[in-house]
Amino acid sequence: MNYSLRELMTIVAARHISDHQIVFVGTGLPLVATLLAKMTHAPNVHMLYESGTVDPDLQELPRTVADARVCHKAAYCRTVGEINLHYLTHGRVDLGFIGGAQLDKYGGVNSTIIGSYLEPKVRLSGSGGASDIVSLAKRVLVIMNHEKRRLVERVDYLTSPGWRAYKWPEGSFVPRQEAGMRPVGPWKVITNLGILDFDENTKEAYLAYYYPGVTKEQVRENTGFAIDVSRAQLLQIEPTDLEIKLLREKIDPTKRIL
Amino acid sequence: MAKIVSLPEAVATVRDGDTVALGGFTIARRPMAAVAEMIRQKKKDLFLVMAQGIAEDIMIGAGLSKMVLTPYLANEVYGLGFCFRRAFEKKSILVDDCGQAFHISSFLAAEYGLPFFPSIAAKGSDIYNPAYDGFKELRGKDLRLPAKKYAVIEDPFWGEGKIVLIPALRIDVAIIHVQQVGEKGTVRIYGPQGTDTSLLHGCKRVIVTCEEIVPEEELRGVPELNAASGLVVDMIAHVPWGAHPTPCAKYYDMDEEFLRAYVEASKKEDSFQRWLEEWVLSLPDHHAYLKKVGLSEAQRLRAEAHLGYAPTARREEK
Repeated sequence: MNYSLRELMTIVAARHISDHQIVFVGTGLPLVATLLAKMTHAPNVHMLYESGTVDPDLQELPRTVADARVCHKAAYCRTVGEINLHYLTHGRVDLGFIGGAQLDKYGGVNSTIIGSYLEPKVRLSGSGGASDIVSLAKRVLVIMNHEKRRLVERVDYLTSPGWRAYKWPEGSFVPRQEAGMRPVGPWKVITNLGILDFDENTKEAYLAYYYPGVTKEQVRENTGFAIDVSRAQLLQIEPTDLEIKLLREKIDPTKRIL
Repeated sequence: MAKIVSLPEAVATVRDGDTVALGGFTIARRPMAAVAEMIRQKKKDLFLVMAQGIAEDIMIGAGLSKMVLTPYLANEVYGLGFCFRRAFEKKSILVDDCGQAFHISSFLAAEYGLPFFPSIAAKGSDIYNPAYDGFKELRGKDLRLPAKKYAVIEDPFWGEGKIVLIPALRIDVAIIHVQQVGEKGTVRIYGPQGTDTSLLHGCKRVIVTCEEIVPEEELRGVPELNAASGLVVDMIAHVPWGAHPTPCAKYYDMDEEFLRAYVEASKKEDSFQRWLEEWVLSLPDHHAYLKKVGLSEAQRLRAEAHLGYAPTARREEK
């Protein structure tokens, strides 16, 4: 069956979710990926919504993160504070997803501003829960469109730090534990061209896999920092008919997200 | 003690310059009718501290606020908060960016009457960049603001490293739209509660607008399901469809077409102003709004949950 790179990216993200995990999801592509995982290899995945619900059984894509749809057969439904503190702060979240407008080579994400913060070009939404997720979830997957203007040496505003973070008040850019953060940075970056992993020593992103139909050269051209593609392998992946069918017919039939 | 008033009467108690928190979350169960009424009453210089989505975006666009504390201001998958964006880019608004944990910590401190609340999130983020404190110039002068954005201590008890202390917000007025309120003010919220529990208990004045006013005994049968007692509520206004176009769990879903049309209109200053004229300024009140949206007839016939029918007295309301 034919598929788009966006569908492939969603399937790749879904396959990174394991059964029985507690996953912190928002709306958008991470939710589609989580639902796909739940309907295939991870039927016992537990979803958390920052708006206040725990472990719902979603029947359709929510319109908003605080929709009644995210309460359907949920185990618990209360407040933003409770989800953030009971689960995220407690270290109970196995996997969190974040996205954004820019990514630095250490996996740090900007979802706040393009241009200088004090002389802004484009104002974006802001952190939401992303800066908390990268601080407190056991594992973090970053989902990004792979474009030269997005994958950059240094982001314009570091909303959600990766393996390097700012040490305040002086503002030096240091390994995240020196900035008082847990020593574990993002797990992987899933883009529409491939999967980035982080070098064990330098903690810089390198291309681990590229998708069928994509070349290493294409990845290099679409990356704004010097990216190591020497270790990259072609991702041996064949989305199943079931996965494609679930995405198109069951999870997102009206193409809200995909 | 809570008293039942009209929406204009409730909104009239909001003072220019107040620190205001609007209930709900992003684009769900927002107090939209109250927002429209604040615009009609020409409130100004409000400090918005629950800045999250469409409600605040409209207020910023309409010029009611030039100061916001926000972890996120956008309309989720429907698009950015374009009025907010324009104001930020033109520097006609002061914005202090925070993260979700920062935000809820400032509300939790307010809720519990504490001076601050600790947080361990987002430490290496630009959220804590001292140069990016949006209210830097005003601290120590504007009494609505804490003296500092945050402080850091070494955990004195368990040796867990650096802990960020987030100051309590001092909120003058909360406006929250909920599903049901008892006639003495007991509050029942269905669906995700956002930060409403904090707002109900942490603000100097609390205005609750609701889909239905129900007999207290309906809500007191299962008190653990209630979000607050009437002891903390100052004013109740019966405002059916008061969250439209945002959804109100168990009562109505999101009016997606309306929201999309708003986001589209908000992209440019002139089309936003036309939207504001058409949907807020040219309409005298919420009844006129419902009529224009096409909901007034449906509301006349809607049965009340606790009765199962639409009481005659209400059906004869205009």
